[in-house]
Amino acid sequence: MSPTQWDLPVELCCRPMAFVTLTGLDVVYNAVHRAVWDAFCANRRADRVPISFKVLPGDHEYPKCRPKRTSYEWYIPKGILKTGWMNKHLNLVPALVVVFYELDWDEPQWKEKQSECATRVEIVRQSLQGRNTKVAVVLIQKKTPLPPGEDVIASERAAALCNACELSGKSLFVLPHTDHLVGYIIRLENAFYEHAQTYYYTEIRRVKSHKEFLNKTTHQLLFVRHQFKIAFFSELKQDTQNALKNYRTAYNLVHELRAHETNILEIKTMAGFINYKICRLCFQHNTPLDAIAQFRKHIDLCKKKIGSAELSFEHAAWMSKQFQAFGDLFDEAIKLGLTAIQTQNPGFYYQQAAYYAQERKQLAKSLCNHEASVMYPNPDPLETQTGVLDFYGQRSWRQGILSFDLSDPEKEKVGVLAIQLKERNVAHSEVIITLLSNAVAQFKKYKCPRMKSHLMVQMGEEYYYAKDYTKALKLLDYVMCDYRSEGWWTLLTSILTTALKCSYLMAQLKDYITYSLELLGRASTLKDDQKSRIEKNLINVLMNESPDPEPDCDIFAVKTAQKLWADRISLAGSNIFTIGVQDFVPFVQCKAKFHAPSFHVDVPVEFDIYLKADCPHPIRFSKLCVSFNNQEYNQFCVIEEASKANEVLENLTQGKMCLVPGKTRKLLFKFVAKTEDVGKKIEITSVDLALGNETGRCVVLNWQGGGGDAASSQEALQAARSFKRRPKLPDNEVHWDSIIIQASTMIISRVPNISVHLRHEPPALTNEMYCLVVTVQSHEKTQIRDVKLTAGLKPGQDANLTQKTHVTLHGTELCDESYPALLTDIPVGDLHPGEQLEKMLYVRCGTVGSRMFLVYVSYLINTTAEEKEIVCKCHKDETVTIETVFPFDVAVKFVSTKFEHLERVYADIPFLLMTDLLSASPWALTIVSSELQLAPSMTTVDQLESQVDNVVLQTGESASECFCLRCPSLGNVEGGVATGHYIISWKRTSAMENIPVIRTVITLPHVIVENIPLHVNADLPSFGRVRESLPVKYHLQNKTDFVQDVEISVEPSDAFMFSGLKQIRLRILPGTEQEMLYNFYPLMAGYQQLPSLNINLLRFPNFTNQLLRRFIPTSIFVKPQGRLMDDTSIAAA
Amino acid sequence: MGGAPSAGPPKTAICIPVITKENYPLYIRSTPTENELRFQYMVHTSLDMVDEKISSMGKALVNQRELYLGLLYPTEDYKLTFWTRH
Repeated sequence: MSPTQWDLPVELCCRPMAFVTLTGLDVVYNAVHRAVWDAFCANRRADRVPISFKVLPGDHEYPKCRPKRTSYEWYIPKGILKTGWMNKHLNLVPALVVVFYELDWDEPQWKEKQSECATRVEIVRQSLQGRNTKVAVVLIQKKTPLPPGEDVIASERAAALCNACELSGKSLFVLPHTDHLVGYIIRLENAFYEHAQTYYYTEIRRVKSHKEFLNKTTHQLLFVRHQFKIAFFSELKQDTQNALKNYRTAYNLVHELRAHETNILEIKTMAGFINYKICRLCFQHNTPLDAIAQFRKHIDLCKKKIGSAELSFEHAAWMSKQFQAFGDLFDEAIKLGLTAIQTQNPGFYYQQAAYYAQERKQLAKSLCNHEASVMYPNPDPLETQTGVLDFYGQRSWRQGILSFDLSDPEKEKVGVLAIQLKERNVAHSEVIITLLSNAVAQFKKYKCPRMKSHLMVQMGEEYYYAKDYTKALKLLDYVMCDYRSEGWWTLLTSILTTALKCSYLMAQLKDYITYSLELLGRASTLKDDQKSRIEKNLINVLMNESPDPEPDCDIFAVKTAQKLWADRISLAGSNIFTIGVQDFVPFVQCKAKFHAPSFHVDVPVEFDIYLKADCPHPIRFSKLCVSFNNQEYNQFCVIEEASKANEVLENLTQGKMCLVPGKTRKLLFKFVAKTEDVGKKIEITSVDLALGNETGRCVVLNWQGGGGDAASSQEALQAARSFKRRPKLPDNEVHWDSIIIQASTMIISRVPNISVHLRHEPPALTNEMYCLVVTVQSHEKTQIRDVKLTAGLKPGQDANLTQKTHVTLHGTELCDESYPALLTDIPVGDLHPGEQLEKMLYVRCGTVGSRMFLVYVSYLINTTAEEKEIVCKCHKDETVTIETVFPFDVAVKFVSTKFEHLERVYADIPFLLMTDLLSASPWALTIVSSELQLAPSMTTVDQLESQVDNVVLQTGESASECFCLRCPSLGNVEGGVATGHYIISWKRTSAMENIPVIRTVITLPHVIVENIPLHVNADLPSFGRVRESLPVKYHLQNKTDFVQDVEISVEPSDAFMFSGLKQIRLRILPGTEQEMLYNFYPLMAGYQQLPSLNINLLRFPNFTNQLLRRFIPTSIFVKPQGRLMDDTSIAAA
Repeated sequence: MGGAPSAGPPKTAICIPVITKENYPLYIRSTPTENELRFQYMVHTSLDMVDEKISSMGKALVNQRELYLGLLYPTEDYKLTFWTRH
């Protein structure tokens, strides 16, 4: 867009930089000069000093300086700020003029060159007469200079040159054209920058010095002007703090000016400029809150300063620009790193700018509605001699006139007319849409979806006004769903109304119908007369006629539209429109409801379709069809106007096809489900309701699923929260809200009429063939066929159970791993009514724990539904949980031949293995046999015969066995020596003869075997008698390969006297045995301690008497002396 | 929410809406002379800020029972303030 009157001038919006001109550079033909110039202007990054350079010829004429005013007494200013002033100081009047001159210190024609240089400087000075602009000379040299002070000639000639050019030493520079050009240039420009700052400082002082001459009556404008200039020079000097301070003062001063209709535009223009500068500097200083506060203050002060009522659109345009400019500043600051928030972002300013642009459009529409015959004035009062205004914000036809009275009202009138006529040509909508779209982009960024939608609605409406209906519709259609989903019906209705207008004006049939459907619906907040009108139009459209135009449409657009509609009618083609209504709120509501969540296959499936119209007048529909996931049922659920009385419908009359507003219409459908669908879900996938017919136009309202639309869920929520009581309705009517959609139902199998019983004796015992007797009895009235039994472990339990559970029908053989956990579909034939069958099932459970068993009986039966012959598959199942337990506990222990518990056994020395079998079964067990399978490392001392054959154990009873074993010396075996297995063959005592015996194998524990150096055993009678000799023989066996020294002693005992060796030391050869014979003579009766034998092995100190006591008896029972002499005792003595 | 002209007395509520937690309007009543549609848009757009405030307060809102959300955002001519309830 080209800049308009209201755009802020470029020189105001740019960042002011010190202006320095470079002369004497031939950048076109001289490569060295070109390189110098490039070094000045290329790569001007932020770290370089802010200077704006310009190359000018040496004889360039700078703007003339007006003669200094000596007194302000008679001076009356004609305006606040001249339009050329900012540009003059940015681009025309330099702070510093630099004269470049090629001259080396050893120049042979030095004198001539020096004088030429001085002339050049003089020419520049002439042109700048009266200005404070600084002049500097840069000598471009081919040679690298020597360090300061070393080149005597250089110092002399430099001083001479300065003298000739009337320059101070600080203004003469040398630029050697060597490798380090950029480095020299940066040093140069830093020096220039210092000069420039000095210049602007003097300028500020100069402007300030005028102050004392001013008086408040005639020089009010000058106060503002001077303050503005000081601020602007401060900016050029890069002193932004002082610039801001001075702009603030200027801002206050501008509002102190006497405002009148004639100068209000000038005041506002300047206020706007200064405000812009303040806000810009605040953002630059990273004080955005100050910027916002200033802007608010500015708006509050200015928004009522409308000025001439005839030109009030100008004020709106100015306001709009203020907001837009602030939005731009804000946005720019964000791009430089400022963080904005949801409630304070540029979007609000663009939005407000758009609001004022809309107001401008409205005002322009009412103020600039001149008749076509009104001509633009000639000569053009808006033209000026120079083509521009002298002062910002003044009227071109009365520039510089300060009087508040209009000297020439006629001229004023012409001027106003010219402005008004020009305003007519402004593309307002374009301006508004641009601002709105700026705002949309911001609100999108700052998470304001609703604000964004609102602005998009406004954009759509603006496109509508701009007659771009396609774009309007696109935007409106896009945001409609947001308002619909949150249930803001008033807003939705307003949007729909505009959308309907657009679709009417473009004669877009489907859109027109869709929007009409919703505007007639319950979400629409239109008045009834409006709804009536829309309904009438809709019916017209369905009858293939043109609708009446929508109200308040542009007359010319309506004319075009009417032609389009006429074309639509004559064009043959597809006249059926299917409209998915799920996502909006149409004027017909639909709900489908199955009577039950499931139906048995032998009973007809029934459901109702409820319809309700919300439009003002009754409406007929021509067809209703329901679609299912199984399309075969679709044919049973159609109502059509043409069709004759359909049996599946109750009381079908022609009136059924007519929907009366507010009345709920219920339509009943029924059909018989297919037997294949047993176990499946029947779902209503869509309901189609046709309005109109194929001869005219036909609209099919399509509800996905069982009805409902965009407002349904919200209504349901509201109804649930409401405390309002529903009025009572007659019996045959229902409250719409109380109807709950039920769009699917299950088809389930016919109810079985058989009984299934299970008989068994729990718990099951591990590994036994557990018998489960299944009894099936038919209670059906007719024969049932194809009876099948599925039995076994119920699927879906622990996977390990499947491995450890086996089922068979044959109990006579033990089943192994190959048998399944579940037997499926065992055919058991047919059953007549009342007949019963029994089946035995054997289960073998390998692990303890509880299991669920399933017995499932299925069969076929012929039956009728709705007079239709169908074959139904029925089934009945029973489950039972059976616990499995160990039949018995087996305990095993090792004891010495003295029946003392053994931690370990001794090599080659006999010991006893004792088994103890305790029945844990609640049922009697028969131990058929037992068997001891010894490991190779064990040998038996005597026969290994079962001692428990055919023993019957009741619960809690036990059976024990004892085996004498010996373990040959094996050396030291880690973890002990395997003993072998104990195998028990058993069955339930109650089990039948042919049921196999179960062998339960018990692995016997390992035993630690230890070698001992010396084994001692004793031969002695089982009892003694008082005063009768008791012979005792000890056998001492050397179990080692060494000759053993043995010390033997016998401790006396109070209960015995004895004869034999009391203490002896002897040697026993390897593998041999030594016998020790003693004669004990008991003195007392009773259980008596024998004289204890102590053995000490010199080689094996660990061989203790404690160990010894394990092998030999320590006491004996002594009987009292008999009355009669016993022969045997005499013989022993 | 109460909206009141920002400048000049008397400051009276000119639009009182009641909004459900699903953000649909339960009740809106405004001064009949004013542009009702404009107020509805204003109330609706202000829900952006309500959503944001409530979500940023989170649990604190429930615990401290801070029901007054304060000034939501200043429009050019009106002020919007909000109360929330559990």
